[in-house]
Amino acid sequence: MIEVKSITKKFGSLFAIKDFSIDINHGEFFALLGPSGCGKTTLLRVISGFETPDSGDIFLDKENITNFKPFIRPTNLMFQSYALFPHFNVFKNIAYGLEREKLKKSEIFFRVNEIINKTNLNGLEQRYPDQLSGGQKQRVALARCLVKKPKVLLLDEPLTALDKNLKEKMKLELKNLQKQFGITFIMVTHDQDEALALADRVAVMNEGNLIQVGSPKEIYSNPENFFVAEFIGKMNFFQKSKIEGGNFYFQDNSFISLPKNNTQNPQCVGIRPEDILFKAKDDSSYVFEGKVVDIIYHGQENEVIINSAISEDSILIRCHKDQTLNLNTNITLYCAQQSFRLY
Amino acid sequence: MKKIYLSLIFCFLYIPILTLITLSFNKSGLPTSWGGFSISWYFDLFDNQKIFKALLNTIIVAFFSTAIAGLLGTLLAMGMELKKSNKYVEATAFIPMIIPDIVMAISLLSFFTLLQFTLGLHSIIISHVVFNTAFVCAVVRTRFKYFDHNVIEASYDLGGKHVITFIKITLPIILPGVIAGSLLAFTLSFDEFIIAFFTSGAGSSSTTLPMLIYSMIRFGVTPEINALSTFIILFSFIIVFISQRAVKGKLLI
Repeated sequence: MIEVKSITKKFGSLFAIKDFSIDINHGEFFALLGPSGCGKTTLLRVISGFETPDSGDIFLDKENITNFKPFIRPTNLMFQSYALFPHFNVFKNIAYGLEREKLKKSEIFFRVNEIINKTNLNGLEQRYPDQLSGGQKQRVALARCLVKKPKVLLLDEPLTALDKNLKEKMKLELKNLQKQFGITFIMVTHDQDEALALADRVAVMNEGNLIQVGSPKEIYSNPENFFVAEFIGKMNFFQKSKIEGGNFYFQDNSFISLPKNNTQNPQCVGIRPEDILFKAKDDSSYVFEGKVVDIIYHGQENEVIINSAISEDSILIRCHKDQTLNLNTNITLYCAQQSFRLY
Repeated sequence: MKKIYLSLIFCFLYIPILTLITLSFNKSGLPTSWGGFSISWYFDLFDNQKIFKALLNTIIVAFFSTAIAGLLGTLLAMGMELKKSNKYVEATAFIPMIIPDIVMAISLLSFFTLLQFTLGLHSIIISHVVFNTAFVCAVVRTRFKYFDHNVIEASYDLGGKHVITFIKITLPIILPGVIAGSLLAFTLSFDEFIIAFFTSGAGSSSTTLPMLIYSMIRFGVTPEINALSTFIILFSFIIVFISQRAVKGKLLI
């Protein structure tokens, strides 16, 4: 539905986006995820028409919209700061976009009221933005875009300005609204939890490049390279001491065997904390010893920091609240061979 | 102790003004003796055709210089706040605020003479526009710090083209600043003497109120002048009060 074709955007001599291409499907909740300064917001501004790319094209339903000004694009952008009009009340804020389409007053009234119902803003019509809470402001900002029935709704860090509890609530609301309206959502975020929880597909970006695209599950369980592995979720990395006879040796000279078809020369192996177990899954599991140095309490599942001879860095594992671990005691840990990833 | 200092400073600032107001009601007409309460000087004031003409001139100058400076200053402030500005533009824009009036008066006069420009009310208006633009710009810019500039892009995004966005979004939000800046410009222009004196030309037809007061004062301070000054103080006070409220945004938003 939206095709981004080899977009390049430079600021001065700095590349904000380098030869970036991506296809986004109709009705999809798509997330652009990356550290700050990776070009994700610039890409969003290129799609919404606020930045003109130096090269490349953007197609929306096969139509080239690269040179469309923001006010005629069938896309709407929800700003990170919400950017509500301070001198308009909630009703007028929402009606503004429809008034620009020169619709009949009665239709504007009908559509604004409809969206006010759907976004739970009843009773707040006469309030001004400075009389609203953070969550209410966000709903007004959303309603103001959705009432225009855009083909694509762009969201710039939609949850960043909210506190933790409200964030969880708004996550659900966003997802419900997206399903209900069936509009394509493209969200920019630096927060991987948001991206993984909300999006149908996630694009991981770094330094203006697309690193990996996939469903949250694919991205999490199959990070293509070191950057994604490090950026998404938590991952322990073990440096190699040597590779010999198809085996990868850790710092203490214990080893795991590399897959038979392996052709790369990995610098390190990575393993998710939840893949380091207290019990062996099978006979071929890699076994190592470590000392518990810290336990970080989270409630249901706690994080445990382990020091071990196999790695210079501390190792992070997870343990269920019912499991008792004592500080400064040695424990034996098991990792299935196939849960190691090579980088 | 602090309160005593404060009252001393306020006395220093306001006793001369209070003296002037009191003397404007002095029947005797002499600053040295109190001859009883009277408002006769105010009646004399209204009968004085010269004063009336000067007042009219002053209002014309203040009105037109404020209108032009209001427009230019607002546009300048918008450009500086919304487009990429640099420190040289900023410094240049504020020079008319800090340059001594006498220097500006002389330079404007030499400039007009060089162009062989006829002097009169119009040249005073142009001269006042120069410094008023800087003051309006400074006040409007403070208003730009008050709101999220993304609202302008939000308006474009929702289908508002440039003119509509300016009329419906930007202007209403900065309007308190525009009003406050214009009122400030009006008062500055209203009692400006040096620049008006230099750029008014030879004839008496373009005499403004401050110039008239100056010429009258050469024959001593008359109670009539006191009465006139009281009016001007009252008028300035009202305008400053309104403009202060406008800056705080209480006027419209």
